[in-house]
Amino acid sequence: MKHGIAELEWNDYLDGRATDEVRDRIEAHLIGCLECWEFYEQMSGATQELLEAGEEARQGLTLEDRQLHAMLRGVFARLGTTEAGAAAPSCVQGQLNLLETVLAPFCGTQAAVSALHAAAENSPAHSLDRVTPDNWEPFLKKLTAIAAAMCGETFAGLVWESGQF
Amino acid sequence: MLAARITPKVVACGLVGEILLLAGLYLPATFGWTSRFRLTEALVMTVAGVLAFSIALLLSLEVAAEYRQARWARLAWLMLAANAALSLMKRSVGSPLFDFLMAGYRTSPLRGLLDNLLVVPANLCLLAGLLAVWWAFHRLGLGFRIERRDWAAMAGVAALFLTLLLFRASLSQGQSPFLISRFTQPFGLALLAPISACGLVLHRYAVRMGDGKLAVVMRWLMVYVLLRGVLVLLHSALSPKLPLMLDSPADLEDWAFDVLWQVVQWAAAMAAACRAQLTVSAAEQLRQLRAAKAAVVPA
Repeated sequence: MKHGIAELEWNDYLDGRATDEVRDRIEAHLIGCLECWEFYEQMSGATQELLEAGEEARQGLTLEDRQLHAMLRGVFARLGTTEAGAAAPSCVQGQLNLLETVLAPFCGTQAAVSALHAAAENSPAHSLDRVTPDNWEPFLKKLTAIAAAMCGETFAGLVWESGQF
Repeated sequence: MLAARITPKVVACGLVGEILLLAGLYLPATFGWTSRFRLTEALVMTVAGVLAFSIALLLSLEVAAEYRQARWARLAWLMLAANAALSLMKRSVGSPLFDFLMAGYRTSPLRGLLDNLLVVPANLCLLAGLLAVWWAFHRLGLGFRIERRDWAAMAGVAALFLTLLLFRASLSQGQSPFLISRFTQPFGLALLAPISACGLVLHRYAVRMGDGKLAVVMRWLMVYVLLRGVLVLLHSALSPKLPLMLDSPADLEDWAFDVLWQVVQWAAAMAAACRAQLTVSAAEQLRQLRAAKAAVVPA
């Protein structure tokens, strides 16, 4: 808390969700405090940029239902993880799901799963269960090579860039 | 990029347009409302055939260029491009238009000679292309195995063609004054046996892949490969007295066969267009991904 305004209150104010009482208090304070005014200007600019970037990203990236479903699965898998040590595997699982959704519309669902398994088996991970952030890059390289052999270089580029953390 | 302009939809329009045009020319004559527009029909078939194989050739070359690192896949599409080029030449020298310049050209030994000189290398290229596709997928180790029943079906198909060749009374070039025609025709027809057998491999791969754009490419390639064989067999079964030849019925009366042969050449164009479209879609998705990343993290 700084100058009697909590971080949560700032967040709500910047998002336009603050209560009337909090809003009046912050605005009354902003009139007389140059430091908080500069902070407000910086944060409101950043919030606006984030909103615009998010909107642009939403318009630029069209997702099919299947892709959305797989991504949501990844998100829920991460949400369901309670242990701190499990955060990395769930992150890998999310990326694997994402890669599957990239591969499936081009190579077919079954071929996509087979390609992921084949890439893992021929990489230091040796199996899909053992793919971790540490051995992710050789796995992704192998998968990209398989994608290139199946669907060409452009598609391989898509797989490579989609698989980057 | 040519593939961005010649989409599968454009190719489908070409196929449907040609069939409708041919039907529009043929059906009124069948019902006795007009006389037969043979010259126009021949013109449409020739132009459409040249167009379809030109599309297949150009798009196959474009697809082959996509496989810079994968040499087997590259070889496969180069062979398919060579097949399209040879088929284009064959379509040109076998055009029914020549019937209007030279009486009886379509059934003449000269046309048979030119035809078979092109059919054999075209079929060899097609076979090499299919084998390269097979090997390219096999060595990826994705578990796409050919099962026993597939081997049995392939053997059955191959045996059917070889039986047809061995026991068929006559081939159209059997009495040709050109010795080379007499040898190349049975060889060209015999090549249909392994080619059709490979068509079943494509079917198996398409089934194993499930859905997806690549499976659609496999299916169109399969149509291109198997429909040729089916038409030769059908023609042989329906007209056992007529000499057997690879693609052309004895005269323009066999209209249905003519139209189905037109479908064959559009199937080659469609396979190449679907595969090329896969690259276009991937490029578009990659562009969207990069744009999204750039929007989230400004450079």
